[in-house]
Amino acid sequence: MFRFRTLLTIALVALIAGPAFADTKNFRVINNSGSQASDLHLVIGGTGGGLVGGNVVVLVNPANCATPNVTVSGGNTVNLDWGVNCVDPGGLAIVRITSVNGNPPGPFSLVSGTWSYTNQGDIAINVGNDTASIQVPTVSQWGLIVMTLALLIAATVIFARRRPATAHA
Amino acid sequence: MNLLRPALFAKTLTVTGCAALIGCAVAYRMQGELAARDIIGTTISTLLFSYLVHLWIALSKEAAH
Repeated sequence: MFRFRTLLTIALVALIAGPAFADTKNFRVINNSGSQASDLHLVIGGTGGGLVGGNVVVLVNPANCATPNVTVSGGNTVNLDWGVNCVDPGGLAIVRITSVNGNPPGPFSLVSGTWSYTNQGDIAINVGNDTASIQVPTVSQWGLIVMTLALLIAATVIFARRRPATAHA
Repeated sequence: MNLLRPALFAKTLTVTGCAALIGCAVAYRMQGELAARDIIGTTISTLLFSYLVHLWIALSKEAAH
């Protein structure tokens, strides 16, 4: 009975333990402004004003651009500063916003954004046309449940097939 | 070790299926609908869970002998 109870407890814990409240989103932004840009400013929704630099990763840097200086202002605005006008028209950047230890919880969305230039005024991005949220492939909740059960079955069969060691005279 | 005991598996499948049906009925009562993915997920999980419980019972019976 001890084995039955232990396995049942493990199964229940694995099934009941819900996912932590956290989110990860990748935002793909294309420079459709027609000019070479030097900065990108993205206003992220779902941050609750708690976005910090550690939540931001630049996954894809525009071609011909050095690593940007990444800052967060106001707890919800990501600023990518390349210093010079290097983001060509049609160039793209992919920025990942991710919760760290559940903060901020999300879900994240792209509210608005602007391209900045060293030689002209800012141009707002068209969130509908210039951006896309790239989904990270994940296993669904049913998939996790089925995988847990399959793993438990495999473990049960493997442990049941073990024969107890016997001493030889 | 025998990996399948049909009679025992039928028993556990019956009990687990009843539990799943009750769960579906409660979910339908609360939500007013049942998604196709939930029905498929419940069916697969019910089969796997009943087989798992059948293995545990079979093991405990073997250990008792």
